[in-house]
Amino acid sequence: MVEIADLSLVNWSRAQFALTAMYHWLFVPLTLGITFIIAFMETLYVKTGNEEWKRITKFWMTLFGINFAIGVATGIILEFEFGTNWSNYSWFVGDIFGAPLAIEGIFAFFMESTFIAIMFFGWNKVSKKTHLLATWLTAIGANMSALWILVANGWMQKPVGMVFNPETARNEMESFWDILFSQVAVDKWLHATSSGFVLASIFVIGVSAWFILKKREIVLAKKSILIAAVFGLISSVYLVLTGDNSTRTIANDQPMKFAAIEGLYNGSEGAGLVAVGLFSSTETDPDNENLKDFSMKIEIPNFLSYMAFLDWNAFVPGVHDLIDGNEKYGYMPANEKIERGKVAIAKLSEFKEAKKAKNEELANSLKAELTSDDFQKNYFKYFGYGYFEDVNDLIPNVPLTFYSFHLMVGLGFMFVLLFALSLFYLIKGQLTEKRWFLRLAVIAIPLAYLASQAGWIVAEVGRQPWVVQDLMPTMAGVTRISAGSVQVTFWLFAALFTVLLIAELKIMFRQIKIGPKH
Amino acid sequence: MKVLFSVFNILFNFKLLNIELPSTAENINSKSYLVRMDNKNENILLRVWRFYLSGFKNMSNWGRQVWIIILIKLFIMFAILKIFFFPDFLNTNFKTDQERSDYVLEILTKPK
Repeated sequence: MVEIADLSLVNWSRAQFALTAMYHWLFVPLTLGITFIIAFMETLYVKTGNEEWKRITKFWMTLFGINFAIGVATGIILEFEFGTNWSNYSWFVGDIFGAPLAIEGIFAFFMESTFIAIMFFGWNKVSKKTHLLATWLTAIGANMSALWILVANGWMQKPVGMVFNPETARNEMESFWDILFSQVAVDKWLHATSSGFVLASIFVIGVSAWFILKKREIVLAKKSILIAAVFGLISSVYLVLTGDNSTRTIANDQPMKFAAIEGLYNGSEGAGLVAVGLFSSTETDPDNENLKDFSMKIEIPNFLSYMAFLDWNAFVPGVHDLIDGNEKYGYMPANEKIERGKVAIAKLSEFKEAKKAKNEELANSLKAELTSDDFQKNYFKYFGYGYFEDVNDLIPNVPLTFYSFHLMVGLGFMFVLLFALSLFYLIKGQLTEKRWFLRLAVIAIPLAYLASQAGWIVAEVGRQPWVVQDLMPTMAGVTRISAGSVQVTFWLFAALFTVLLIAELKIMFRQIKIGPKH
Repeated sequence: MKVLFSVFNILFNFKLLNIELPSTAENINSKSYLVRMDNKNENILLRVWRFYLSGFKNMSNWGRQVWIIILIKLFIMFAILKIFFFPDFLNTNFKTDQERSDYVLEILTKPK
């Protein structure tokens, strides 16, 4: 590993960001999905005038309110970390990251402070239709807020629509629309929000199942399960489709992440999909602890090729193809990328020295070269590789990425079954008798959170060692501060967020126990 | 902590603001109050103010609890964490954008 920054500092900075992001994500997906479920329920109330629907709407609104209030502003801590722990990265990404985050902040503030206030304070003070409109706008607003965050994240996974300015050492936005409509950003938004819909549906079904198990609020529980199961089933089909699309985008744009997701070391035509696999404890390559052999696996022939390129016989590159290169299929060896990256860094260094020496003529000529299409395409594209000496450092943690992906997908399919069975038993009138199923529905709540977190592990661990794909490795983005100070804030956050989580769970459990008002 | 809760409680009840408001949910829902809220002749800002005020005043117990948590959380985040633990590195250490650019350029071009 290149000693650009102390490894302990990089690891602690990563751990701190991961901790805050994962805690933040505990609160977000429920908000994304439950607001739509509440909006459906309130729509039924406004359409039918049935007071029972109003009571149901208000009950779920209470749980949404608790989750929202505890989670609100936890994301701001991530922005603190950008400025303190990731200052090189923050500077390098420039307004590309800042613009979507600013839009998100404005969106969140106005949508949430206005429409959520009407949702909670507006009963009997505004007309039914105005209240309903506010509920729908809260749901849409929350999901639109997520769009801007995911656009920023999508850009990190596939930088587009910008040009690097060597004068300022920043990337400058060239096309807002290219960034907004980048396939990675669109896929991420659709997949993340639909995962929130699924999680919220499971939450509603799980809590309702608890009521049925306790023989309380049977009408509320059955009506809630009906709405959540239909919404969850539709959302999970959509989730599978968006996930499928994401897979193809990853296969094209981040082939190393794709290989890690599937534990594919050696590429082949007609590659098989490892449906279930267990890694052995020994490394397949002694130089790299991230590469472990499978001790057992169940493989579906040709399926991976189809999943990645919609062709049963397409070539899917493995880790070794991407590291050693594969001339036949056009994959450049990692060493070649490292060399090109070093050329780009050296050229930037020359430019910096020319500027320092106030040699304007040379600086201008180097700037012209650095920003030329040819240099950008052949050298600057690999800028981040120039920080590496060992090609093994370009490989992410394969077992963690593989297990997280398979856990997420496996649980995802279990949730589809859960929604289908919920509807089936409800229609057959057997739901209250199926106590095993009701217990399973309650257990599914933490599993939904687990799947949701696993999805982000796939996205973020799978793209290592990059903080901006191919342009900036994680170690170059980190601020040179003492690892000790990062450790202190890590534990501070761990304590703060744990207290918040306990507070949320306590208030939430108490409100569930109290149940809806009669 | 007890004192903090009392302060919040006073604030939530707007005892310090000396504003006449319906004190119970029943009064809020009464027709006379609705007429006041829907009075189109009244200034829009005043109506919005009354809307939020009555909402906070008549908040449920769980609502008050989560607001206390929000305020404590925001205090910890902005008055403690941001000030003492999370200074903006580049803004704190460099005065101008040019200096910040030069520093980052220096870091980016020295991988070793």
